[in-house]
Amino acid sequence: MKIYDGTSQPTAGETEAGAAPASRIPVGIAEYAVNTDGAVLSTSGLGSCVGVALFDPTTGVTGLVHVMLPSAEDGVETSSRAKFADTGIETLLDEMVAEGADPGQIQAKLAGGSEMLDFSGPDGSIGPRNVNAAVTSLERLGIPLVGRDVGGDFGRSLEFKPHSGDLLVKTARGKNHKI
Amino acid sequence: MKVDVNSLGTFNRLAHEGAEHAAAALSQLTAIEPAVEATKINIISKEDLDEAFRGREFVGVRIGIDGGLSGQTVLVFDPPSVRTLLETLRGNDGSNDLDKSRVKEVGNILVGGFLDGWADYLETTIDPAPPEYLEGSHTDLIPDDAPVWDENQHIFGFTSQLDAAMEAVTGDIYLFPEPDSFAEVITASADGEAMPIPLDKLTTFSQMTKQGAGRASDNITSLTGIETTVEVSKLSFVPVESIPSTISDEPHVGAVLQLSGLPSGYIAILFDEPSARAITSELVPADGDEFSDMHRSAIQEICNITTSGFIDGWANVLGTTIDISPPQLVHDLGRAILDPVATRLGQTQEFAFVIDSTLETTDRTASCDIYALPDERELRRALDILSVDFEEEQAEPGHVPGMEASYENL
Repeated sequence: MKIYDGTSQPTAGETEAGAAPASRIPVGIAEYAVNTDGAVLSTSGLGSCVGVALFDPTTGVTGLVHVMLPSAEDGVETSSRAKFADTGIETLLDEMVAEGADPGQIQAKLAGGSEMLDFSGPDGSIGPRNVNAAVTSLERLGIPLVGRDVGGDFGRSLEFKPHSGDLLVKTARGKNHKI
Repeated sequence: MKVDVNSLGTFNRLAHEGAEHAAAALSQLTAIEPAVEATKINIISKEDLDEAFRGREFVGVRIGIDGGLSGQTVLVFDPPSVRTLLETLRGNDGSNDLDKSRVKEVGNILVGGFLDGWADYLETTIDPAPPEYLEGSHTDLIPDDAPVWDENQHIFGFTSQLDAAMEAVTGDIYLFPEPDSFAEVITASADGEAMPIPLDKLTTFSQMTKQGAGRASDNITSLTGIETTVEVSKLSFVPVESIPSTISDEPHVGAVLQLSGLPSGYIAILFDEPSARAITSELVPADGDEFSDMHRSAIQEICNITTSGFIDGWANVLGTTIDISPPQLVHDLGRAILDPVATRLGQTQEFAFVIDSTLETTDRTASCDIYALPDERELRRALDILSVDFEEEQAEPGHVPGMEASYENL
């Protein structure tokens, strides 16, 4: 887990229009990051994984989690709560509130959950199950989902821009767009 | 020696935490806070390890360790990274000379941080020797007296990458334990349900896959007319969430296949786009930089013959049946291609064995990575029946005696 409050030195990133140069915080698989100083949160290589971005527009506290599996019950015992949609979103929310976010103001955007490979398996495709688990967790926690870009058969990389709340979705096919 | 998979997982986490201690020590010494990228346990021959670092120059330290754990630790950065680090040392007068004593001093503190966690966990004392200054190219990285684990000169080592992208600082920290010493600590730390893996058979399995990569390379050469060779073959033990980070996030093209049988799992054969264009140059007319459907079709054909070359012989050596799914053509971000494979394995295992063979054209214009990701439980079963001193049966091209691997719609 990473928490950035302006005292650390994340990596250089893009500049938002009209904003000071923004730093960039990379978020790995089964990781999350919380930010309070306006840095861009980014994650790459989402296939069946899902990226969930949470933001509180009133305080500027933002967070991004990159989850692999739907529920902690789907995996093996692990120390990483961020690996799963249910525990990952819950943990991200808790950390954002600890950093000053107002839980009543937090909104969510999510992307990923594609079906890139068509292989047999007992539990069907993990991508759509990840999306469903993330949506269910957000509903349970009372967080409105204000944007989504899910499914398909292609990978995605994400950049979450805190000042605008824009989630930039990039693909290998050059279909970049904001949600 | 047999090692418990759960214990290997614990030790992988321990090495990762150790690297985080080293990163924290670095951020106290300088203003730079590197992130610790995936920590891996690698089993690789000395020769292949040298090859994997070809073209790299580095500066760092080597520190022998003794006591509760014996072996060698190596901490290296590329020379520009070391200059940046020395420049940003707190209290520095602005000098960034590659002063050996300052490199040794910083290296000693970082490796000390790395080892502290090990000593705490093992409830023992680890005695570091005075640091030796290292500077040179890839062939100088691995100490001549680094512990080897078998007659094929395989090295067993923990590796973590320290990465501070903003300052363009990257470094690697390695721990190469002595086999006897490591056997002692890993046996002592085992608890819960044991899932033993014979390490000598892992190196044999790795050897078997390298031979498979050699056949795959021959098949590519036959089809494309372009000479290719196996450059590096290594076996890694990584957390499943780290599997995608074994490849870059640049677009890649290739095929992914599912194996069913003993062992089951996945194979991915992936080219970056410039390599894909180069390797198909004799099969597809040049048409600008566009990667066309004709290129993809040629890559699919290359992946088909690569797969058969790679897998032929596995079932023969193991005496098992392996069904192979039709290859699925993929063309996407490298990490997004391996992500669904990692998530599927992640449903039943926390760590995975990744066998990565790199093929390269002799003119070095194109390379291809073949990833084998076996289901861990079935790999253990397969290793149980694998003879350590297997001699692969020589087969006529197109006919493997006793071959039981079957291809669905290949």
